[in-house]
Amino acid sequence: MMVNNTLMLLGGGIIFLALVSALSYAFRQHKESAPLREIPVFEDLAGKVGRAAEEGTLVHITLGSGSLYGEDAMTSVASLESLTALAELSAAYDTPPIVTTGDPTLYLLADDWMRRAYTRLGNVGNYRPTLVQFVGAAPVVYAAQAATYLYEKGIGSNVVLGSFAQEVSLLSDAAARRGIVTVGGSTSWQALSALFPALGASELVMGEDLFAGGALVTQRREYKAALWGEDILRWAVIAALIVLATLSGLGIEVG
Amino acid sequence: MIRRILATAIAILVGVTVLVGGVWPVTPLRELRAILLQWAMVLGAFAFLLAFANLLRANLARLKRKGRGRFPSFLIVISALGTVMLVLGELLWRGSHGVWSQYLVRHFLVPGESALLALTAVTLLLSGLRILRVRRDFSSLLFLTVAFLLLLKTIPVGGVLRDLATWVERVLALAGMRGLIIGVAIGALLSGLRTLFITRPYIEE
Repeated sequence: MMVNNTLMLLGGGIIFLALVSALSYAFRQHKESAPLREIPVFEDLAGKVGRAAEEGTLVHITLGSGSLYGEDAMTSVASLESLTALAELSAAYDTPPIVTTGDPTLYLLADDWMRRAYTRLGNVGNYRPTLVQFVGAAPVVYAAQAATYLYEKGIGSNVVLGSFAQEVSLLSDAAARRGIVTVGGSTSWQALSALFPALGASELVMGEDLFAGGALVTQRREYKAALWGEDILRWAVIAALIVLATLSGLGIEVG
Repeated sequence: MIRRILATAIAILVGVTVLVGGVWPVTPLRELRAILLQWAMVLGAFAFLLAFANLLRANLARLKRKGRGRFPSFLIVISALGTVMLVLGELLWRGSHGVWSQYLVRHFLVPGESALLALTAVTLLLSGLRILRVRRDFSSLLFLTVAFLLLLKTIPVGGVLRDLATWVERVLALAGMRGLIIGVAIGALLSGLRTLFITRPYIEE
């Protein structure tokens, strides 16, 4: 028991130190010119608001059912960060999107996020409490209810970004039937396998790319540094996997 | 200024305690972590009340507008209010709650969700059929081929195709899934640390 605790302490310490050092190293070393990943969906998100303003249509944003005290919390936060520019442009043009959520805690966070965007641009007077809506607690009920919004007049584009599973196909199917352009992504393989046939690779954010949204959209140094740190750790994990697989192939047992 | 410092200190302290308690589940960190998560659950319950109010307000606003969303909104408002009245009535009349709400869950919610899940299977199939009409590229073809191969595995046909499907499922699909999960875990960890220590969106601007 004592040995187990010591090992856990050691392992956890190494992981934590690796994460903090990667983050601080990346923060110090990162240059503004360092290239970031290219993810077309995030580059085009803000443009959707401009087009919606020109066409007089609305953008529907579905954030999924990721609770803030569950394992999908960071997926939900990263999705909101990716939508920062979109929210600010919406506030500036006064073309508010309709944001739907499937979890009460996520609803509160999204409402706060949108309200802050309006406040930053000095347009808080135009903020409406029904701009962000909680539409259902069970994921499948949420997706079905959010899909009914696509049948209403005025929705021109649909952004599906957050924690979903296969129920997301209810949303993508409704959008396809109405001819509404959909972009988005998720971190679960169930949602990705449901979204891929409807969206295609260029309009889909897959897995960990979702966490790059904040850096690409805001272009802020701390976001870029964290993304760089993420890339360092990713390559470290890949290298460790290759070494372990090679050792295992050679018959050498590790651990 | 003091409010900002206090908020930052509390958030970092709680965040680090939960993180460290998760990595090293030893006494008293494990117990402290459980208490903090319980508090989060209580706050989550309050969030439910606010979300319920928002649900009613949004659907009442939708009812006033003309459009196709009026009927679902009408059903939502009626069922939401009906459920609250039923549960409160049970609490006042019987002095306890659970029986009537359990009845609602068993006979309305669960069958309704099952029906929607069945509908999901149909929409998934339609998406698969739509793919070749919308995009005829290599990735779409590969996606459909693999889907067909894995569907073929569910019917009693033997031979090379079945072996190939098993290999795809056990090696390629599993490797891809693990890669996705590891990537998401790294992304979530780094984003969590950034949110907690650097960007700190929990402080008022």
